[in-house]
Amino acid sequence: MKKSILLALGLIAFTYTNAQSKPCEIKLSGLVIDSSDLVGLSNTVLSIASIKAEAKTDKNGRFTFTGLCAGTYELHISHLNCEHIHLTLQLDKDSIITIQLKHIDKELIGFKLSSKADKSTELKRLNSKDLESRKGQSISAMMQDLAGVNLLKTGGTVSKPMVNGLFGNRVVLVNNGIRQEGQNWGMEHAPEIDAFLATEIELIKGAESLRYGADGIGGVILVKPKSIFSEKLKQLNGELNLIGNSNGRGKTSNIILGSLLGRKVPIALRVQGSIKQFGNYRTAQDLVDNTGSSERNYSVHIGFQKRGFQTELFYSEFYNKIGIYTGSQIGNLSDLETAMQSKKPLIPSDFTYLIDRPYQVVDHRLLKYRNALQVNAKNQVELTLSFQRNHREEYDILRSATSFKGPAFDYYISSSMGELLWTKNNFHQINWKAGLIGLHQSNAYTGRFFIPGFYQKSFAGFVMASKSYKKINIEASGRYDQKHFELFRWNTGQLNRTLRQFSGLAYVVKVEYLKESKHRISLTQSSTWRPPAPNELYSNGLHQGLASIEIGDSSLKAERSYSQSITYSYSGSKNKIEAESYFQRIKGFINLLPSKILLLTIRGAYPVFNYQQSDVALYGLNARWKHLFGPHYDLIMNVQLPYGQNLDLQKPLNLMPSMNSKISLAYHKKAFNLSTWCVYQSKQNRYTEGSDYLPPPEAYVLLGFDFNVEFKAFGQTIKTGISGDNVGNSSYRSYLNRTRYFTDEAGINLAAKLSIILNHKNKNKS
Amino acid sequence: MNHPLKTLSFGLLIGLMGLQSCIKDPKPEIVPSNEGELITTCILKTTDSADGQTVYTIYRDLDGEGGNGPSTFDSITLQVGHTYATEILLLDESKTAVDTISQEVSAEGADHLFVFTPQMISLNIEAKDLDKNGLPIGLQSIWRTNGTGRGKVRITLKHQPGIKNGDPLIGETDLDIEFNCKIN
Repeated sequence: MKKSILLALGLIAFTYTNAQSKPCEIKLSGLVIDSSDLVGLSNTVLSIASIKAEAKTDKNGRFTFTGLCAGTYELHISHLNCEHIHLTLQLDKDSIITIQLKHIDKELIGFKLSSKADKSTELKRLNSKDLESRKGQSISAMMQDLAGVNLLKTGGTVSKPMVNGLFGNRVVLVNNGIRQEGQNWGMEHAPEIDAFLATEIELIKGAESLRYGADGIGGVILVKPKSIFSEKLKQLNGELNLIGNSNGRGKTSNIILGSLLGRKVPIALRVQGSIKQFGNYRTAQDLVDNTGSSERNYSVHIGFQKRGFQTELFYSEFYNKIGIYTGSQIGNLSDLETAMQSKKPLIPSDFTYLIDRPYQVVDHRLLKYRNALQVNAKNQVELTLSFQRNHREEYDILRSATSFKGPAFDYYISSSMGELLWTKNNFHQINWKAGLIGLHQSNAYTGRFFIPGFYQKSFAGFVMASKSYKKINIEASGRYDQKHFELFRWNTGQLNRTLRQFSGLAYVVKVEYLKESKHRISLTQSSTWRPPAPNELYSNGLHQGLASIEIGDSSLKAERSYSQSITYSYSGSKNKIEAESYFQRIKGFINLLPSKILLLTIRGAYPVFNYQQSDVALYGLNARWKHLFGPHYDLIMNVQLPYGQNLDLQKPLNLMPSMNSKISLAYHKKAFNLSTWCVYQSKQNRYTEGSDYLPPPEAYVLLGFDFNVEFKAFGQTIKTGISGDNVGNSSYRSYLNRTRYFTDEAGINLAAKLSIILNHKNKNKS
Repeated sequence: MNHPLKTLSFGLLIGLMGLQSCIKDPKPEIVPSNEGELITTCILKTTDSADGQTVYTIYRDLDGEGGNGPSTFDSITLQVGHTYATEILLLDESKTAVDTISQEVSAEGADHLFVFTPQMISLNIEAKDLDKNGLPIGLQSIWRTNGTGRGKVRITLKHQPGIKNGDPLIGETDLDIEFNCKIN
């Protein structure tokens, strides 16, 4: 526990008084202050477990313990907004200490305490500095720097994260502490999250991941905004971002403003909004028709904090409209063949911002209401209620001017969730966290059938425990889920109601060994499960974009994953190395496989793909090496080696990312940063002939750079820079892009960025 | 500890009330209010110019693409050395009020083209109707049989909004049926 001081504590100042003390009459007093503004922190709880003594700071942050005997004490200091710390003190006379507590931008207090291991895993955590160079890009694009993450794309604008080859329902996204509930089963459905809200993105696979669900068998990705409780008193904080892109002539702006209204009325308020507009993008040679997109998002965040109580209310709306390349919406299989044989896009295009059919419109709203109560030094209770509404419309090409003008697919999914969480620290020397979760969800549609309407009621309970013993940290968690589905389907004019129920247990265990704080080895073992999704059970229809008929199987069972991984990290002064190797076996993995059948329709014969279950294995390696050359230069090398095998068929899994590597060289000096990078993506050779319309495309190399400089002007901090993607203007296609049959990936793109960090102190009042 | 607990319970109450109002979500609109636009049925009305006798050849798949296969899929039977006037009728019979799609195709003739491809059979097919630009549509066509045999007639409907120039390969395919055909 001692080491956590280093992580959480800025400074501790000891002042020994000269007063002579008799044994057992020693007085320990002091001051607890906030390291950021050096103001005394009231309501901080200090406790000495060995003698069951407890003290609380007054409104100025002062505390006193009296009647202590000489000796060594372990002092535990906790404040609702700060990382809890342990301090070992040797007392032989009256002492005064000053403790600086660092505010943390985390939703999760308490439990993080012993997971200090996470601190250095750069492989799985991106902070605001890492995200800086991708400012203005989509939330998925930001995630691609995490270990094992690749993007599954549809054209140039729609992308979703894939973790070690798993995606969709197998990757849980948590936005602002709330599990994102949209139509995430669809390959061409991107996460509905405003990237400007993210200040930290983390991929978790440890014990904590079960808090958000047992079905994230690929992993759980947390998108964390800045904590509302980090707002400062009488200061207007914020940021204005303006970004221009050359490819697609993209225009993006974002503003965020926040302040703490007063100390007596401790309410913090933050508002944010962003607008994005892109026109048709250009491959290395040609403009791609109807590939513009626009996005409008806003959010309001209110926080109230007094004594040990915190409450916050968050509301956000995400709205986007995305054009789909006209040539990708093909009529039938022979259209697809014609389109695939063409080297150029079949539909010529001029530049425009206008979006015509086919396109999709997505609107996602989130309301979150969270309360946390620090009952005492060891106990915290947290209640979070949330409501999400996702509305997705997909507009197809009209067959005639008199056709129905509305969307061909129109889905509404509404989710109400509640989570009650109890954190108990240092109970039998173990830190505990337990929670109950409830979900009510309704899914409705109008238009063409693809997935049925349903109600879902789910309940879950989970327990996590963590303990540090000398150089070993252990954490474990277990979760039980019960899910009830009530599904409605039309069958020849009759509405059929089907009830389905799924339940199961999941666990995660992680053991970590630290050596000289430089070496760290951890082992993680888990067993998690996922019930079949409604589309896997009941879809029965034409997937227009792919000229295929997808047929669900209502007899599918839940899939179960057994995963083990070893992570090694070394953190030296010149070199930092992290490597993760994993082996995951999934029993009853639900996969869309081509059948030999062609189904006859009025538009010709279509190949049929069926959802089937098989035993599969996923294994591979993710590694990162950072080398520092002197004070100003560093080199980072990342490599991913993912493999997937269908054990039943003894064939490679489809849609698996191939080996890829990224090397970047950076120069930093004061406020001047320059980095250049190179990405190599190999050809996916593990491919079964005939399992796709076209074999995987060739390997490619991409080059890029990022340059930015920070300076002060008009009393504000200004950051400006320029970055480039695919600066060699290579013409290439990606195996993981669903429009690879029709068009190349985007060509060169240059982005100019301007950020103004607003920090306005109100000088009139002190 | 009393005060924060009170605040908490008050907060919870407000929150639950707020959530309750959100939960009152309308019942899932599970009724497919529009089936998009389907072509469920294609009828060939073939009239022999020699005796004026009319034969109907039908392809019918009421649930559209996917689901069940066609419920009716007739073959075409023709006499050698005859000339037939053929009319194509396209219907959406999935709706209670049957929609005649071929009327839309006719109204937007300048955006549509029927392509006829006889396969392994001695048959000549020519469109009779023209759009406003003088290009063929194909809703009305003349079929001439030249020799006996068995084969297929493939009929495709291309949707070519703004790009129609007589090229049968461009555009999106709205219909693609291969009828078995016999010439006696």
